[in-house]
Amino acid sequence: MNAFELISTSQGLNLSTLFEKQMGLVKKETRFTSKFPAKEIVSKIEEAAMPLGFNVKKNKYKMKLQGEKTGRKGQLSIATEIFEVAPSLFMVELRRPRETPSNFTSFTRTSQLG
Amino acid sequence: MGCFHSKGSKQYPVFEDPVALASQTTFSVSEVEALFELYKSISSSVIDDGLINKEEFQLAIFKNGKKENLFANRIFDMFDVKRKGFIDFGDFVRSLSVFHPNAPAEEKIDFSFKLYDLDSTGFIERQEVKQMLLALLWESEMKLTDETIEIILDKTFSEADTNQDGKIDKIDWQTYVTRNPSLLKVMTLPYLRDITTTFPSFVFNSKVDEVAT
Repeated sequence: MNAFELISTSQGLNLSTLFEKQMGLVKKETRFTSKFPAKEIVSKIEEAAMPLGFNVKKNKYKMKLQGEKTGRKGQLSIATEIFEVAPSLFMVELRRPRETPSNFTSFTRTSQLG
Repeated sequence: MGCFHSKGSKQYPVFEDPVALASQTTFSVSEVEALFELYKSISSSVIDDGLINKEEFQLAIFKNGKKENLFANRIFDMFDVKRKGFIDFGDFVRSLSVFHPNAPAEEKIDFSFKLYDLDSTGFIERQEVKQMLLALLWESEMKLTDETIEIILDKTFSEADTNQDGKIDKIDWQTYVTRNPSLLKVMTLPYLRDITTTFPSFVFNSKVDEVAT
């Protein structure tokens, strides 16, 4: 990763929170870092997702999790990507598309704890 | 003429006509009116004076008015064009205009260059990028060795700094972000497209009908 890619992840540059707070929306994106190798991160997310009823699609270090159960606003779908910040430090990014139910936050907490 | 929205005798200082603001920006008159709803909410959150001060801005971004952040400070300073210490409605609309999905790329490139040129020398220097990188690491509680930081800076400058003089000038930046468009992602707010549905404005003397679009 280069410096500007990292810098762009700052919360201070994320002006969408100006709107999200007013709209009462759940966060669209969450990021956390991990020292585990990327392959292990992928399997841990998979392990967390499957018992929750997600269908997991993988493509190298990108994953798409699709909820089987249909909630009030349709299926919960989460896109995951893993970036190598430095040797042995990875950043995991979880994103959800716009109209999504609010179980995103509890899922991200589960992934972080894993 | 006075305010285009007033609660009893409340006056908003430095009033700017929504039609004029719409003509200067990528927003329509309805969108400017919708932005005013958002502006009212932010500008009254700490001191109800119709202006956005630093604390109110920090509150809106971080949900914590006391949180200090290098990048939020830069954004605040960029919005507060005349360095008055607060953002008025005109500043708010004109600056957010750059973040509209339809705003020209040149505006986004220009804004981001000035944003990262911390001391406004007309160059983004290695020392400035290092300062921003350290601020980001501190904010995200990520730890990298000094060596790794230098490696990241080396990599960045070998890609962005074409004449390898340790500085990124405006042309370098333009070339660099054109090759790496994801770096401009922070400069677009998709929410701005739906602003009139998100913030319906019940403005009784709305200017919309008076202007032939």
